Amino acid sequence: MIPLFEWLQALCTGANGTQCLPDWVLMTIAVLIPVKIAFVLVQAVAGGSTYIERKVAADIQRRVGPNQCNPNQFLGVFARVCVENAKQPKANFGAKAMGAALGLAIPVIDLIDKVAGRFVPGVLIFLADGIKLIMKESIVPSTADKPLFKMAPAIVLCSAFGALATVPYSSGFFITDLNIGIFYLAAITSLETIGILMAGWASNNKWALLGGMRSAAQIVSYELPAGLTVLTVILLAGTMSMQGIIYDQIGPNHWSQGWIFQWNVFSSPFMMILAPAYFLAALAECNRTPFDIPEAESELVAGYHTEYTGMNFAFFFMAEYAMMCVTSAIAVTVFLGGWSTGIGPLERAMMEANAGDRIPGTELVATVAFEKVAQGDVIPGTKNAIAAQDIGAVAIGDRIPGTEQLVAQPVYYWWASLVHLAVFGLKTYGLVFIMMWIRWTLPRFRVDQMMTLCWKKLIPIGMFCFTGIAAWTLLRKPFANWLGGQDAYLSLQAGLSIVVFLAVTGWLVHFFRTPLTPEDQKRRKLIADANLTVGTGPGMA
Amino acid sequence: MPNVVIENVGQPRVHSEEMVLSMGPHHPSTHGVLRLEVVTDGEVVVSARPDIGYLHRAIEKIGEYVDYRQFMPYTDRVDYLCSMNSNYAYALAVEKLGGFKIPLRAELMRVMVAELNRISSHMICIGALAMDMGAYTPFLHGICHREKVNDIFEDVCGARLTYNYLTIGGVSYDAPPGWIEKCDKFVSYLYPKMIEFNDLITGNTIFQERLCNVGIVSPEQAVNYGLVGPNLRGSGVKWDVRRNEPYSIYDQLKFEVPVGDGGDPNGSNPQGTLGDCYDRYVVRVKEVFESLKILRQVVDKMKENEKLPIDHPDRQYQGKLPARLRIKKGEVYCRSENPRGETGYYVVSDGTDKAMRIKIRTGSFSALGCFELVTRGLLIGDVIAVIGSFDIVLPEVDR
Repeated sequence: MIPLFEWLQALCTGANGTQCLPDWVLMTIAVLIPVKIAFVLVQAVAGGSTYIERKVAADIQRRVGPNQCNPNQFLGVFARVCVENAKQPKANFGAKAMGAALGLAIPVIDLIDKVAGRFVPGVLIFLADGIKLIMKESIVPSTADKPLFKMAPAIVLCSAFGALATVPYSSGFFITDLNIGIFYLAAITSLETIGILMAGWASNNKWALLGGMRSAAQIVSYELPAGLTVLTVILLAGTMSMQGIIYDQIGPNHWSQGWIFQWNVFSSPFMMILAPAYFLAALAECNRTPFDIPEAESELVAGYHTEYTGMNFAFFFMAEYAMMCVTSAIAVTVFLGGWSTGIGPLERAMMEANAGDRIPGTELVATVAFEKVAQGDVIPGTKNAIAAQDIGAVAIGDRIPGTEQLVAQPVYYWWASLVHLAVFGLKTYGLVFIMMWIRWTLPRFRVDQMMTLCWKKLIPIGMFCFTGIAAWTLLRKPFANWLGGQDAYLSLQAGLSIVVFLAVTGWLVHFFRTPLTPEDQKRRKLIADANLTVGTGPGMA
Repeated sequence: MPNVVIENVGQPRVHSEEMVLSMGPHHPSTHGVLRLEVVTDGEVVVSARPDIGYLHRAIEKIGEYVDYRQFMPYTDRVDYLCSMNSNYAYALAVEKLGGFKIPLRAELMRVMVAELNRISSHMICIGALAMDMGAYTPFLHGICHREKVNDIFEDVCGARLTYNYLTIGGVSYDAPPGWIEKCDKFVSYLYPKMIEFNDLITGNTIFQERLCNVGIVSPEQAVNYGLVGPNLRGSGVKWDVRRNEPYSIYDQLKFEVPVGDGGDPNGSNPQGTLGDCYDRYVVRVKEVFESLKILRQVVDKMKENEKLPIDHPDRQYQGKLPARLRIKKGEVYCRSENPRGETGYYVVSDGTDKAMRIKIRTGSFSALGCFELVTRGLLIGDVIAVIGSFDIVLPEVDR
């Protein structure tokens, strides 16, 4: 926002130094552009996610899924109708012009349709859904508390919408990087509870009320393990800024900089436990299976949004998908290295300046001539000592060599921003995919089981890991000194991370390739204990 | 509201203001048009009273106005998830009353479609129970397998839901060419698919936690409340009409009667209690395998039967019956094992071609009888589990 404002200021400033537009206009523009981007993002993210969700569900359930809403069925049909209209004898100039223009567009639409039908069949289903929901009547029950009823979906959407402001999409592109970024995110995402509770209460429906109460209990409870996990990461990174947390995972200028094992999730065994715990808490905060208790369609009809129709319902729906993406983005940021590619040399190749590089032109100006000082004296305003070769070479007003300011964080080329955007999107949607996978595989918890999992399992685990990480953070400086310097310490830390990384990948490979254990086979046989050899048909699998 | 003592060990009461929830008749998981009047204290159920009758069509009364053969399509509608079994129960009763003889091939066909329909009915039950627990995918997998059964039925009688296939004295149509091989292929198809289904949901920890120790019916309660079929066997009572009072050719077939084994450390439900929802669920899953076993045997018998000359009495699919059935005076109660437990048809004849009285005894109705007892002290989510595990089909309750 601020860089945008400064860029606009520079744009409007003429050669004589006067601005053609006042500051407040520029500031308004600088605020509105990101807001618009966030708004489009919410819709694109919700639309894209619904399509992906439908396809994932269809795949898991052996169905085809959406395959009908292709570009031809939207734009193609429209274009063909316009062309037909232009051929009518009574067609006016406008119709003729439109027909001619769209007639040219038909081959293009056909081509897009062919490509889309091949790779993403039915991709425009979210447009069809959206049109349907907009056209539907938004019914307000006569006994409902009308202002609250109408306000609730807006609040829920606002919380998802506001959360997008501090998501670090990329190294260069982000709406804003607050110094309390993650704190802001935790605060604004929990605003959703208020909206849901409001919806449940205002509907004047017992199912909705139960759903709202369940949701309040659930989200408030799961804020704790999620908060503990995030606190741990703040301890490690020493900052609450989202970009700062990512830069911390890229690391200082060292051989281990930018590698995948530098990501927080691999940095210690504690984090390895905390990351799945955070993911569970995130699932619960998004009301996703197995924690979809507030809207449990088989128990509470539709939970807190039972009474909502049309666009009011769509707001809840969009908020749910935006929330999934936001929580996944937070998880990616705090555990999976944010937009970092995880390949050290690639990260370095994309850097314009690395952390710790000197910035030319920022040297201190000498206030005394260096004839009058001795070697080893401290340069005023710095901790540096005066080097032997500088004595006699620096006069008053000269810049003192070796006193340049250092680059705090890596600076990337502008095009690296695009690479990082893609990487961030892939990681986020990877987690979103896992959420969908879980949703279409697992049943849901009961209310008391959900509470037990939170208070008796996740919070103790979170506290344990938090204490462990806190002790480690306290001890690492003395430990580094004892080791004999920052470099040795960083190498040791990287070595430990590599061990954790290899252990995790090894376990994953093992997990997905191991056959059933004897106990599992026994249980399987107990349930499926049918000796089908009594017949003589084709052999059993 | 009278003071109700919570007998079952369930959730502790919070003693807040009681709320009356009207669950149904259009609630998504009451499996039809059941209405439950649930009194809750917070989320804890104080009492849940079933309110039935939304689907009453007076089928028993219609039986007094149409002749014996014409009543067969109505039995389809008594339990539409297993029309073949419903037909079967009625056909058995009338044949017993009239003393009609059935050719062997008709018996084989009947057992075959009955077991196929048992499988397809159980597919709906276990799938719907999983869906009630929040897992949508197992339901669609179950539906996918059920479609295969429907294809087989469509081949033999042209219908996919209400078959009207069994007639008094036999079956409507003979097996078309290649039909037996198709059934054989289906058995080979479903066995591995059921193993996959078990991996997907039966062994799932969350699913087990949801169902174990919930909705417990002790063996004594099960017998006293007249539970039948998988609900009775889920409580550990080994009673199956096919085995205890064999009809048709069931005495020549080898199959097990699976019973619930909750709490048995070596069983399929070690962490549960005998008679809980998971027991009832697992009994149904096991019954699918037993039905596959029966099917495989009947397929073999059918293949032998095919070798007989075409005019052999054992190769006919219908017995020789008069065009107009006049049954001598008398009454009969005949029961058969349906997917929802034993279904009894009480038929009274006054010597005309119409029954004087028909009374149907169904499994779902008795299951609803002990519903209030079982759900006391449970949570709202558990009530859904109990409905699902009893496998209630509302047209069977109301008739």
